[in-house]
Amino acid sequence: MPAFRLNTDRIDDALSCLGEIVELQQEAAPSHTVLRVAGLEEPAAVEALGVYLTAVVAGAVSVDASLAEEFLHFTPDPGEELARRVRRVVRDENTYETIAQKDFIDRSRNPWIAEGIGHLLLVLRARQETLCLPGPVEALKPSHTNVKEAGIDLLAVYLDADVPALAIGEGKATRLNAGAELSKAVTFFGKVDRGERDEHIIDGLLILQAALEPEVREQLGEAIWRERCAYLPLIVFEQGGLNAASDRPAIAALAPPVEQKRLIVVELAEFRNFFNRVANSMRAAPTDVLA
Amino acid sequence: MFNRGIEQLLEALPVFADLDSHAARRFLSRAYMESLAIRDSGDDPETALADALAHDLSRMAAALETHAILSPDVSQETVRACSFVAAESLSILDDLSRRDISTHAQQSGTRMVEAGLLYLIAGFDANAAVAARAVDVSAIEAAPEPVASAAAFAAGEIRRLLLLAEGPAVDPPAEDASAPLDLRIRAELWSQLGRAAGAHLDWLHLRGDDTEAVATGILNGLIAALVSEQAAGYSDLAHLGELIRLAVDESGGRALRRVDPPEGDDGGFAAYRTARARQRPLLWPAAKRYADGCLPGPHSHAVVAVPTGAGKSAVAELAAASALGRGWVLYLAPTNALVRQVRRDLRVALAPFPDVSVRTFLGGAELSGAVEETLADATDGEVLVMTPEKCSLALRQSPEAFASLALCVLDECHLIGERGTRGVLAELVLAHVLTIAPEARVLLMSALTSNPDELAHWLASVTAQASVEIREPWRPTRTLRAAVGFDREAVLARANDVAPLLAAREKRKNWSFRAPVAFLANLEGPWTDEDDDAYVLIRTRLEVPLQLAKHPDGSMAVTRAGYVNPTVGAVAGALAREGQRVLAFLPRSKHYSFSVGATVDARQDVEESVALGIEIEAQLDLADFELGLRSELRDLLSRRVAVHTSALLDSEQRASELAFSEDVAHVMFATGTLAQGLNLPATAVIVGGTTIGDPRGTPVAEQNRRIRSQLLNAFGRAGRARTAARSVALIVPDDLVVFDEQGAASDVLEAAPFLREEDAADAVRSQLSNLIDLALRGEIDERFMRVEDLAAFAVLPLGADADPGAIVRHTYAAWSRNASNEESSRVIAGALSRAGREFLGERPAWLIDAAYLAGLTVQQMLALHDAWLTTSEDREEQHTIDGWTMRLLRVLQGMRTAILRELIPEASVSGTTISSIHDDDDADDGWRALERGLLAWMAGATLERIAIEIVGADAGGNGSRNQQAPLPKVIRVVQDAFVFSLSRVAGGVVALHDIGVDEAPDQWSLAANESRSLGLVPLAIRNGCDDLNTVAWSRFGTPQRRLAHVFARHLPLPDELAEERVASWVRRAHNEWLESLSEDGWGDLDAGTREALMAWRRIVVAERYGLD
Repeated sequence: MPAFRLNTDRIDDALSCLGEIVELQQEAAPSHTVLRVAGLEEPAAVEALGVYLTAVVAGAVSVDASLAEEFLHFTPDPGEELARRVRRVVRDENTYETIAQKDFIDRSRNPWIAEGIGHLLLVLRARQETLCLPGPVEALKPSHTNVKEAGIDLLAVYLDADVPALAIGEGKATRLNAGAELSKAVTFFGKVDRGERDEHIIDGLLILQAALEPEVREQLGEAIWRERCAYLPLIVFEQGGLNAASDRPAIAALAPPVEQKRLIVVELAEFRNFFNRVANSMRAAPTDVLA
Repeated sequence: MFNRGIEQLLEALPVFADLDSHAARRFLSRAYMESLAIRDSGDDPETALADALAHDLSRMAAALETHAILSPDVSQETVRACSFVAAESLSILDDLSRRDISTHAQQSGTRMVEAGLLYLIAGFDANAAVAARAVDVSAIEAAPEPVASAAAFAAGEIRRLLLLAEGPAVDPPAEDASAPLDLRIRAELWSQLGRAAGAHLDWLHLRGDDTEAVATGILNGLIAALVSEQAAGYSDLAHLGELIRLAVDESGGRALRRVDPPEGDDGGFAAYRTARARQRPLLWPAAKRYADGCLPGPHSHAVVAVPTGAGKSAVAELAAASALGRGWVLYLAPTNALVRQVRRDLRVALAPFPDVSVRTFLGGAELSGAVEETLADATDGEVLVMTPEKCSLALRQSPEAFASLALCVLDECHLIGERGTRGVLAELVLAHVLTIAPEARVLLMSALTSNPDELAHWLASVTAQASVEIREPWRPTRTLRAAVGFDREAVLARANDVAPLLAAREKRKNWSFRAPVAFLANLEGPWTDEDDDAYVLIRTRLEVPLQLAKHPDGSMAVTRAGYVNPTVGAVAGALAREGQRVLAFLPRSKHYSFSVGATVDARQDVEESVALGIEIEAQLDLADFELGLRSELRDLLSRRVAVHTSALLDSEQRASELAFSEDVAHVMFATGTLAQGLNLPATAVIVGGTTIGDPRGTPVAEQNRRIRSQLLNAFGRAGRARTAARSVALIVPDDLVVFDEQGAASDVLEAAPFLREEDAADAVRSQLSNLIDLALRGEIDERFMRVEDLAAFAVLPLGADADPGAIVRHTYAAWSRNASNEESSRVIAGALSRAGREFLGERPAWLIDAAYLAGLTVQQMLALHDAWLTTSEDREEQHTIDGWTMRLLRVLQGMRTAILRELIPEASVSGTTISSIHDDDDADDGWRALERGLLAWMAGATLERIAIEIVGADAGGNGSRNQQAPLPKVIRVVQDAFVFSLSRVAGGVVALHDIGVDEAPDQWSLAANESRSLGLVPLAIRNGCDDLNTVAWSRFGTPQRRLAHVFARHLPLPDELAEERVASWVRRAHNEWLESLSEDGWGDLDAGTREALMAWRRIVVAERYGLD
């Protein structure tokens, strides 16, 4: 197999950069807690985000490469495969003209990047104390690279007052329809409430087991039973599109307490420009993230 | 809903705050109740309650499954407990979703794959199979190719594993190298999962690669690669792989293939094991423990106490298969119906053995002079199935055959503790076997025994062989127990509506109105809980008639009169129409089954024309021929209703059994005795009434014991493991119960106290103990002997040369009394022999041997002896069977009434003209009716004709089965008075002649043809025959009485045919008839006879020429 090693220094630099720039501000709301994300539009953050998201894709390619060797008995070229996967996520350009192009950008690319932002926030919470969650992230399910994959966008195990709890996130990206997208996210969490996503939660926890301490694994069943869980709806939208702090009965009806329903809002000055810049950064990153 | 087995299993559950074993059981029960479509959910079917339950179930399943697969160092017991609750939760959730009761919308196909694997991990393979049937293989993953095809392949193989389906593994779809890498990988991972499932199933089936490690190797590799923080895209497959691995581990440990062939196996056991493994590759817990503790050989005795439906028969089958290589197998079952069922099952199961023979010895305990009625020709590699009564006769006639006995199975071994004669007889049979078959190992089995440890100690102690107790509460199904009653508010509202109408009619004393039925259910198991939270009320849409009665003072009240049977009919029909398979017991009277059945239509569509199937039709045609009338059962079966009572002919019972087991009938109405033994599993049981039979004349304690035993046993029949994981058992108490919001558990328990108990298991206590005590104290007194004591005298060898001590020493009673040593048994034997001689008075001592040979008490034999010698003889009549029969009736006529009542019980002839034979003064009409009826029976007349003889001329043409109708009375007379009683008395006469010819030749010598005719009388009475021809055809051609007469008429035995050649001649003639496919040369046969012959041919062909 050709060498497939990640440039961990480059990735680490990107995360450090993001850790310094990205800020979270907490705000109370009657039905939930609002976390406002700031700093993502800064040029350095955009570039670092592109590198980080490419590294996420590279991680999946790395897994596939070893699986191909073990089960298909051939070795793919990692550089080629990474480039192909990045193209699949962001394509070759940011053209927004045909219906198909608009559909891809609005329904696939941008939501995937939004989900990546959510993933990033959890990674950062694993590295340092932030407002994202009340305790440190112990393990985090990697982001998937199939932009239309069903399931749970974000799943993490964190410690809340030293007791294991789950964090479940759902990312949405929309320039103008933040309210509608938030409703969709709330609908998703309603299904989580009713247990209709339990299977995906168990799937995710199973692969995290190696990263968890035995005493944490021991308590995961009880965490599910007691519904020790934070819901993290994440909405990326253009400025002025959502009054995030208003009372929302649909969110109030969800099972977790107010402080565990943490609505993450990423309010952008230039919505389209931001996503195009992140995509550009990703297209340039493959050579960066491979060692 | 949960028995001790589940309670024990759930002890290993982790405790999560308010979730413990109790809470889990209550959640599951509550949700199961909600899933019953029969309930009334009000105007909005998608209730918040159902959704809340679904939420709890889902959360519980996820929490416990997560704990089972993620918690480090978790015990195997905890994995099983968590898996069981998770599987049960997912399965009930699926029921709720399918019936649109809950909006819970997890994808059903995936959920049931998961549920099935979790059931397998928990050790509930039958439930896994039920879950598998709900799996839609094509819907397992909606993905582009090649993933979709590979996923469907894997789902198909996993489904086959869950079903333990026959057939080899199939190949995965070809790889598509042109697909994107991640899709190729995903497709390959699916294929690997499918290969692992198929490889494990192949291994379980003893097919292909002989290595258990193939599946485990695939799965370990897969999981090692996928359980990684990075492999997010395949986490679902990692999850599935982990479940399959756990399922493979658990099921591999229970594989039948792990049972080694006995030493010196010539390939028979190995062939059996392979064939069986392809159908039922896994051992259930009782069989596993038996295999571990007693095989190969079996080298040890065993006592198996498991609940109904927990695999008792499989234990016996495994034991028999292992024993066949070193001798023959004796299988004792308490009823002829069960004997037939065991024979059918063992013939199929043991077919892979070369030259194996499974024979039944049906009929009663009567002695016969016919050759081939003995066990003398029992050979190694043979299984003989019979009742203890029949075996008792065999032990007396052919003790030498038992030297090569390898295994003796006593099914329903609690029979030993039964009061009356049967328990004593069963115990003495077993003791006799232990005495004369030292190489035999014994297997006792029962669902109703609470002291298997004592029984095992007994066997070990009296044989000096190892003995294993297998007490295993595991059961593959759960049963929700509920009482049927009425919601107080609804009843009052409806009663208030009609009260003014009743008040206005001065002469009316009552007014019927309809009220909705409700169930009160206990959420855990037996109704032992005091708190109301353990009970839940379920309102239903069903309405049944109740009566509002007006008292003389003008007050009114709802009465219980006549509510039980209509309620049972309504509930049974409704449950059957919603897809349940319902057994409804009506223990009060055997006549209720027909009358309630006639009110029920179990078809989902009243226009549906139900095809009964060839074998059921054939059985009904035989019934029509025997009755001489059209069987009323046909009409019921065409509405998917079966009936099973002793008021039916054997062929009608068989038609009902087939109809129910083959899903032609969806509800079966039966008397309580059906609960004993026959394997007719149901998903719902209803018991109508809390009285058994006519309670008058039965001591209260005995009546309560019978109620408890029979009703609990009936509840135990609920559970059809391969159809449904859960079942419901309902009691409709005699005393109408009304429920308040808070329930009315205490009222129900007052009406049906048996609900407190899990099962009817009692300690088996010997009914011989009293006699043993008396013998040890030297206090046997014939004037004060109980019926059990007298029975012992009928089957113990007490003659001059006999040694009853050896048998007594091996009895459970002697062991229980510390008297199984040589000295005590000598004392007991001496006392018994002395008592026997005292009974004799001045009469010859050989009469004790005659009594023993015939299975009569000494007193009965003495009375028969005395009456025979004082009855005039007519040498002319002694040449024919009819003639001997006439003389037998004259002898009985000369007996004292008290003895006559023992020999022909009053209950057997009540309601007919015959009943007057028990009158001291005016018995002539009765004796004439008995003579006419018996001779008509033996001449092959229809039962309708016999009814005219013994009931009256107006009995003709009446096919009704209600209580007052002639047919039920005739069937009772035939079965109880002729087949059972008179044939036994005739056997007594044969015994008198057999022994008397040597001891007192002047009185008892007969000419050869006289002796031959007399020897056949017991069989002729039992089988309804009147000459050598018909007896021969009934023994070796067909057990169908009237057809034996038809065959005998058209294919008579050749003149001068030697007696020893009769059997082979008849069998050959019968086979030639079968193959000829016609009755050419038989002259004009009426349509009924032709139909009966055709029906018989179909049945024989269906049984592959197997004849008793």
